[in-house]
Amino acid sequence: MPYEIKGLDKTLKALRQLSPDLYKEMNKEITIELKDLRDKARSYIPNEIKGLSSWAAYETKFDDKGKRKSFPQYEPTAARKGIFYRVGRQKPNRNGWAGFYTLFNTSATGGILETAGRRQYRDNKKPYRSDNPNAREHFISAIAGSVGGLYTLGKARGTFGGYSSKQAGRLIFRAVAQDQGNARMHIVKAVEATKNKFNITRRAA
Amino acid sequence: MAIADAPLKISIVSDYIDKGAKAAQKSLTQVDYAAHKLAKTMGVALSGAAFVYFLKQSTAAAIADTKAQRALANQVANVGLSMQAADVEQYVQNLQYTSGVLDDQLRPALSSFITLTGSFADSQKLLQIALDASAGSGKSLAETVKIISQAYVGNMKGIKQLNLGLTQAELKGKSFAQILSLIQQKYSGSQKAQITAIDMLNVAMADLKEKVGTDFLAGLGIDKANYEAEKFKSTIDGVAFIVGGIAKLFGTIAGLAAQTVQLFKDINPFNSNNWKNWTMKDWGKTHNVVQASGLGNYSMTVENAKNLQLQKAQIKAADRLKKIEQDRLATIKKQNAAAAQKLVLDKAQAILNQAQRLFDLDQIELAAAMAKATTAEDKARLQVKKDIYDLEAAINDNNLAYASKIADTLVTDAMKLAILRQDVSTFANGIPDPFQEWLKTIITMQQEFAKLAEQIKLASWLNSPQYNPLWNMSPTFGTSTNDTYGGIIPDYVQPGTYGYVGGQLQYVPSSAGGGVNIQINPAVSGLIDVIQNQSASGISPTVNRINTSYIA
Repeated sequence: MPYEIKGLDKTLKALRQLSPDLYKEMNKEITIELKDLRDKARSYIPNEIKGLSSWAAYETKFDDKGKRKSFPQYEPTAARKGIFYRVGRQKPNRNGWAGFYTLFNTSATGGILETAGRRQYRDNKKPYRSDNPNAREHFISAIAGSVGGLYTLGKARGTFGGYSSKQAGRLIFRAVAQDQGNARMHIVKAVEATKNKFNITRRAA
Repeated sequence: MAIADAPLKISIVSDYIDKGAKAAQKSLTQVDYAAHKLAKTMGVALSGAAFVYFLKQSTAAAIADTKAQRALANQVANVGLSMQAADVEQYVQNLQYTSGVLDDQLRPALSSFITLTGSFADSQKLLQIALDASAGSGKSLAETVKIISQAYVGNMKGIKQLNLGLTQAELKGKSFAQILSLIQQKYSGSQKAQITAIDMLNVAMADLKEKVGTDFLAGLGIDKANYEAEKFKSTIDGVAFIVGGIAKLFGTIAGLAAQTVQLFKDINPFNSNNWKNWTMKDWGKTHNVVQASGLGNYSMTVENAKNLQLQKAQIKAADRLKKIEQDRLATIKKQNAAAAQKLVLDKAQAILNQAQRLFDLDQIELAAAMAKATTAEDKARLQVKKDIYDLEAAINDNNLAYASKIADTLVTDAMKLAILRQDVSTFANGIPDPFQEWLKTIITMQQEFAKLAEQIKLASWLNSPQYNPLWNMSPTFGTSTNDTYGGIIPDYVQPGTYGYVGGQLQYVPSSAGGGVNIQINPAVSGLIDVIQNQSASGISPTVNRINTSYIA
């Protein structure tokens, strides 16, 4: 009685253990898609933000242990470097879902470019620290002008099952939103094709 | 920032990992059941996860409390008061309820004074003064204890902070007993006056946690002596321990010590007014527990079986279309290959034909014979033979244009030969006339014109205005003075003949009128006569007689 493997996690594990060549070949195809997304996301980062020239000249302060203790400086090179992909199972979240092919944006500058302007101006809990009452709008509009607007994943706000503000961004979210699921389709097809090849070789054996 | 903690990430493809979830889910179910039963016993309302969280805190509190007790007992023993260790602990327990200060603050303070004075009674007195001074001056108990301890050994610097109203010089002149008396006078009763219900509740809660934790661990068979064992310490923080412990010791939970149960009932730690921070979310974030209800929903993942089926169907349809396209392209490729092969073969055949033609022995012999021919007749004969070969080759090559040209040449050369031979050489079953259709057309045209000539006489045509369109057009017409048109006869209406000269119909004025004589190339007209006669006689018209009279 053949043993049936269900689920992506177990399938990939089986492929990795029983047919490493096929597994490597599959990953080569998949990394092409991920690289494409990564490069697209990196291409959205400009070398300077028009209207925020002092942001690049500003120096970040660090404490004795190397931990940043002030607003980060604008560093496009670090931001590009902070966008990368990973192949392999990530740590499951608290709801039990784990990513297998994941795109990351980990740098401080990248995070600011990605998420600036996500939230509506309804949060009155944090005090407004600038003397310029338009500082917030100026900052966000300058970033939007140089990098672009926010792109969302999933349904639009206001519709049933609509997106939360955490699914919007200008770099990796934009790359994935504009991709419209093509990368995922190709990855799923690559896994399916590899699985079929594996089954054929097994049957032949 | 570690990758796992990165907030900005998108899982292009993810899957649900059920490892541990099922076990945790089962344990949580048991926790829910245990919590329900406990709640029923105690007459309180609580949820499983909140109860687990409370137990976690309780066990931690129990361990910390035991550690502090041990430290105090050790210190008491060091000063030779080990016999009074139990009394000391009892004093601390009672004091926290009368002062509203938690025992984890009281124990260090008492320990400091015991170390300093070496007397439990003196330490109790100093602690009470410190509690009053702390409440009265607003300083923390720890700071106040430090100030008093320093003053005990003669360092009066800190006493100023207690705001006794003495100058530095006055303080220098006072003894410790005098200072202490002054503090007592100033702040006596301050601590009791500031105790609030919240303070008492906090003390009770802390005590409850310690008691619940101690009872719970005791139920698991873990003695206080083993609380600080490294192996146990790492285990006690694990979720699995708590969850497993609850599942395993269901009875013990319900069998908590009566005092604890009473305290539980009195305080009800799961009252949301008191414990607002206890939420499932916090518990989940801290301990990575898969919750029983709801497993999340990510837009980039396959959410349910329906979506998965749809995706599979889409992939299958795409594969099918791809296969059809591949088959179509393969067929086209095969066709192109076959066409290319045919083209190559045709080219090769054409080249072969050309080559064969170059090395055609008959042609070579013919050319040699023509080179050697001396008489005009021989040359003409050989030329006709060559024309025949060329015509055959053109027909074989499907070269119609060249074939018709060669046919013309053949006919001409044949005529020339016939003339030279001066005989009636026949082409019995000879070369079919390639211009037969054309000749037939000419014959038909000749016949039609002949009919026309019979019906319409040129003279009457000239003299009959009703038949002559030119008459109607011309203002003057007529051949006699009786002509009503003034006697001026245009050139084009003068009597004569119309004939084709050089292929064009022209008027040839003459004295003779009447009749229509169509003159074509004389040689052809002669042939036409022959053919016409033959066709009239029923014989298939062929060129079988060429008369010199027909040749212009």
